[in-house]
Amino acid sequence: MRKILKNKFLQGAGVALFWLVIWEIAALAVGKAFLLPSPVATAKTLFEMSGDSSFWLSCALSLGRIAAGFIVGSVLGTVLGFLCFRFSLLKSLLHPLQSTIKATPVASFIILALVWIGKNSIPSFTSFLMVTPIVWSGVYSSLQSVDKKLTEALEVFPLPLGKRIKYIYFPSMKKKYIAALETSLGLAWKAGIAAEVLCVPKNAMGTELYYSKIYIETEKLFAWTFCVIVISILLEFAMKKLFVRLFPESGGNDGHTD
Amino acid sequence: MDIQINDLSKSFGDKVIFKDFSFRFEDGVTTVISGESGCGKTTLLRIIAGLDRDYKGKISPDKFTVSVAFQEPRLFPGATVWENLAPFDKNGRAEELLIKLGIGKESFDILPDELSGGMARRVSLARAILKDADVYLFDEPFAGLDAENAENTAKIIKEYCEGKTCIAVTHNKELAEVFAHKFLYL
Repeated sequence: MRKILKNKFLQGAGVALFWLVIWEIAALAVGKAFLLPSPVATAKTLFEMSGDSSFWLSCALSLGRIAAGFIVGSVLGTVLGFLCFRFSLLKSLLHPLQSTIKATPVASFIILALVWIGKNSIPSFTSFLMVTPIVWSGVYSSLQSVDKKLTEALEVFPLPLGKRIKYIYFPSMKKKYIAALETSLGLAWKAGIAAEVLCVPKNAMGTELYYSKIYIETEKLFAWTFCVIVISILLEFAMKKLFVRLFPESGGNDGHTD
Repeated sequence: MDIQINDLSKSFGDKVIFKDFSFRFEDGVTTVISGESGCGKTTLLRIIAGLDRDYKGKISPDKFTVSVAFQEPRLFPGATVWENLAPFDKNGRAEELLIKLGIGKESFDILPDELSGGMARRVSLARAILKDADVYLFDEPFAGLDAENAENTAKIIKEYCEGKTCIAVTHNKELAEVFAHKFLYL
C-alpha cells in the first residue's frame, strides 16, 4: 500500500478519481444535466466532438492565433525591456503605457479591439497585450539585477554587444525571463480564449464555448472547457521541457576552493 | 608607464581613507601594497582602474589601459573557460598559461559554474595576465588558493609580468617577495 502511495502516477490517478467521484455525486445530487452534467456525459460529448474535423480545426486555429500573439508579444517585450534598460529616457516615456496596459481590464481591450480591428485578429491582439508588459517588466527587472561586479568586470574586459548578452546578461536574467514567459503563456491562453468568447471568430474554441452557452449545451461547455484546460497544461509542459533542453542547469561553485 | 598619484583624498562617509596621498608606481616595476584591513588597498586599485571616480586628487596620465584580477573571479557566467579568455588573448598564450596554472584542457570547454572556487580564481588571473594593458592590477591574487597553487601563481605572475607595471594587493608577504620589486605599506 505504501509503495502504491509513493508511485506518482498512481497518486495522480487516485487524486483525479477522487474528484471525478465528487463531481459525479454533485451531478447526481443536482439532477439536471443542463446545470451540472456528469463526468460520464461530458466524456461522451468530448468523444463525439473529437470525431469531427471541425473540433480539431477550432483547437488548431485557437492555438495558432494565441501563439502568434504570444510570440510577437514575447519578442517585443524582450526588445522593450532591453531598450528601457539601456535608455532611461525611453523607460520614463513608456512607463505610463506599460502601467496602463497592465491595469486595463482585458475585456476593455477586447471591446476596443472589436472597434479597431477584424474579429479574427482580436485573440492574437489580446494575447499580445497580455504578454508584452509581463515580458517587458521581466526583462527590465532581471537586467537590473545583473551582478554589478560583472558589469564592472565588463568595463575592464569589454566585449561586443552580442557576447555581452550571451555571456553575462542572458545567464543572469534567464530564470526571471523564463518565469515571465511561463506566466505570460498561461495568461495569453486564457485571455485569448476569453477574447474568442467575446468576439466569436470562425473556428475557435472560444466561439464554441459561446455557442454552447447560448444553446444551453452544458455538456459541450464542459467538454470545451476541459479541452482549454488540457491544452493550457500541455503548453506549460512543452515550454518547461523546451527550456530544460535549451538551458540545462549546471552546478554552482560557491564557497569551495582547490 | 609610470602611474603618478597626486594629493588623493577619498572618504566613505565620515571615514577618511586617503588624505593628500601621493605615490608614483614606476614603469616596469611590480609594487605590492599591504596594510591593515580597511586601509584602502582595494579602493586604491579601484581608483587606478577607473572603477571608482568619486575622489579628489589627480592620477596621471589621464588615460591608460588596465587589466584587473579582482578579489572575486568575476568570470562571465555564460562563457566557457576558453571563451572567457579568448577575446583578450592577442598573443595566443592562453592555452600555455592555463596549463601552467594547472587548468587542464578538459576544463577549457566548461562554464565557470562548474569550476571549483580555486580554479575559477586561476582562470580569472589568467584573463588578467593575458590582456594587453599599460597597468596590471592584482587584488589578493592568492585568495582561495591552496599553498601549492598559490606558490605556482606567484611564480607565474613573476614570469608573465616581468617588465610590466604591476600593482598587487596581498597579505602574503612571503609569496609577494617572489615577484615584488617594491612594497608600499598603507
